[in-house]
Amino acid sequence: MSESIWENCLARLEEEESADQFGMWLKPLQFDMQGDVISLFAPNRFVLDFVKNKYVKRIKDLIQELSGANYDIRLSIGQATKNKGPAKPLVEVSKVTAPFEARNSSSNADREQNSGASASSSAPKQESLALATKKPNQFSGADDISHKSNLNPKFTFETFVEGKANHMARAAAMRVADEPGSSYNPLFLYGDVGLGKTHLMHAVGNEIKARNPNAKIVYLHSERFVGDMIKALQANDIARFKKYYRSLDVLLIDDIQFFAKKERSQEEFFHTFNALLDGDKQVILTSDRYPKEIENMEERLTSRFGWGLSTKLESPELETRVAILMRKAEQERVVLREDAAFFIARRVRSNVRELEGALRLVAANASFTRQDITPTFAQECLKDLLSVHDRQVSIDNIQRTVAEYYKIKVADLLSPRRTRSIARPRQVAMALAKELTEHSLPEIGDAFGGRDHTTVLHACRKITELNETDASIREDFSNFMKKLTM
Amino acid sequence: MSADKSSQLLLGLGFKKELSFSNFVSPAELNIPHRLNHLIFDQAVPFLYLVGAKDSGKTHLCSAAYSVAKEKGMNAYFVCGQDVRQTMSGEEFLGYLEFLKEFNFLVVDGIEWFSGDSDFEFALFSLFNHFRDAGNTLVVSACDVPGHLSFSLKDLVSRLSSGMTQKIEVLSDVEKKAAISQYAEQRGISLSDDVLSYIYARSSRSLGALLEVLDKLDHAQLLEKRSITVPFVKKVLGW
Repeated sequence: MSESIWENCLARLEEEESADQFGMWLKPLQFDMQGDVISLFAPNRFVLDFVKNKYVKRIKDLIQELSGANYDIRLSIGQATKNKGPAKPLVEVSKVTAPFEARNSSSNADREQNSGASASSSAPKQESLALATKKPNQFSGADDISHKSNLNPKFTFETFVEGKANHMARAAAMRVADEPGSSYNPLFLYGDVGLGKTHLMHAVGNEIKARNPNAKIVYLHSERFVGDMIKALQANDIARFKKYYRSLDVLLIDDIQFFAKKERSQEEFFHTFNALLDGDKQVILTSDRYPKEIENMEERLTSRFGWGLSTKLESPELETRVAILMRKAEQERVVLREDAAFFIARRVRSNVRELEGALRLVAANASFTRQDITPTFAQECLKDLLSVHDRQVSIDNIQRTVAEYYKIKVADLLSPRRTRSIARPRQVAMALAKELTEHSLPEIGDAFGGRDHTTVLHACRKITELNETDASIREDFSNFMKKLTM
Repeated sequence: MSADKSSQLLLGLGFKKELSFSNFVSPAELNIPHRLNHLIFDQAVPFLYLVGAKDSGKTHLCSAAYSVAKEKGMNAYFVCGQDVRQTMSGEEFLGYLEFLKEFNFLVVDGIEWFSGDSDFEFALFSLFNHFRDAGNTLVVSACDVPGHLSFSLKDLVSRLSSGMTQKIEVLSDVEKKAAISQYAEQRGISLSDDVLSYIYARSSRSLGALLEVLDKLDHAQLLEKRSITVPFVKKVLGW
């Protein structure tokens, strides 16, 4: 009797709601009934909260209509125990609790991480329709695939700070903005995280839009492309998906490496990509690595990525980092002294995002305490952040990293030996120690077998010189900087 | 309390479900609740990263931020990282992203729980991107700075590093004792130094646990109408 009430209720709800909505929020509910109390068990808090906010009243009305009785509906997280008396909820939640208030039935202090409980699969993300079928995107599953351009108006060429590290990429991007679809198609921007790839991509889009307001330009992250494709497949509407993406004038896709292992998305993108290029439409892609180095990506795709121009963005050098900080400060109307900017830029060197984060922290503290931003003030504000860097970069760490890289022993770096195979790595390590730590030159000399500070100075000058003239040293040094600071 | 720490006292634990900025105590010169309230709701920083060790009160502050957002009529939601990690797989969580993206103020407490699982990491990455692109507010808390959490998705680490970071310090032993004493006084309970030391020597020294002890003593005192002495504490707590 009781089960049939629920089955009938579900049947009515299934008629009233879309298949996605019903499958995601209502079907997973388990039912139990004791006297005049109906308990509904949700598999997790998201379902509970959603049902509580959107469906409880309707469920109550339907049950009343179907049974002629007025039941008290109780929602909780857990599982119904079929035919064995009342089920025990994992978390008891009344009808009136707000999402987090209910959760606070346990201790509100930060909970200790239970490593055992967190053992979860670390299997790579699978692109599968099973995911979409099991938990469809309920809010937009059948929506029109329509985007705004998604361009961020703040990301322009004017707000992009140019330096040695990104000069080529910026020049290429400007060329594309001048002549979209003709030269450098696709433009493939690659480099480590937080170096300005997305900014440049938006800048091209904004520039083209400014010159041709009718241009159909879409920026999106690769996951959105995948998401749209899955929704289209779910809605049996892949034709419209194809038509939409192939009708664009400029397609900007960020972090293309997230297509890895997503064969269906790669297939779809391959055709979209070809159609756009065939129609002289511009495509710009970003990735964290060179096209050929993207793993689990079809070769036919990576080879096409290389058809146009692939250009790398490197980590900005000190002067550029300072310029970025000064520019950001100006944009945010923050008064930033140059010596403070140099202090921050010297200490936060991994990427632009971290620089921004550091500036935000310092600026907020300055505003809150009404103090000027001096190097000392910045140091105080950033001490936690800087301690992370300091913990990572010690002379010991540098020596170990350099020795391992050149396949020599740390003892060799500290020894009096002056053979080139030892002396050059030693000079690199000394230059890194000067660049990445706060140690004085005499301290660095001491750490390298008691050498004089003038030896350290010579090593630093030598490496600076070689950075300009010797590509292999430049690459080694760049790799060390990345390895030691990321 | 130490002048150089953003120390605080979590009030009302175990007694009230209301975790607000007003019952979170921190030194006047730091005034963490005021600072957060200002950052989130006056300056409207789009992304705030609260970092602090266990028992520093991150959950309290996250909950308070959520409450204020609701009071202001924002479409807000609170996600507890631990709850999520313990009740669903990363793949399942990905299925709820669209639900979470509907909100314009999202709090994710304990993002360290999402580390080490590619689906959870990607889900957080996706949420970050969505909230940034939509101009909505995302507040997260974690036990350490992004670079020290075990995230394998570098793009996520760099994004998390770009936000406004606020460090929350755990109280020192001396500060905790003073805080408990202060809180007891606010509730009309008088704790002698002996009693305080006795409790502190035997209870877990987490602030949450200490406040639960205080809760038990408060109830027992109300029932038995006795002053709180060491023998009374022994009896009530079975120590």
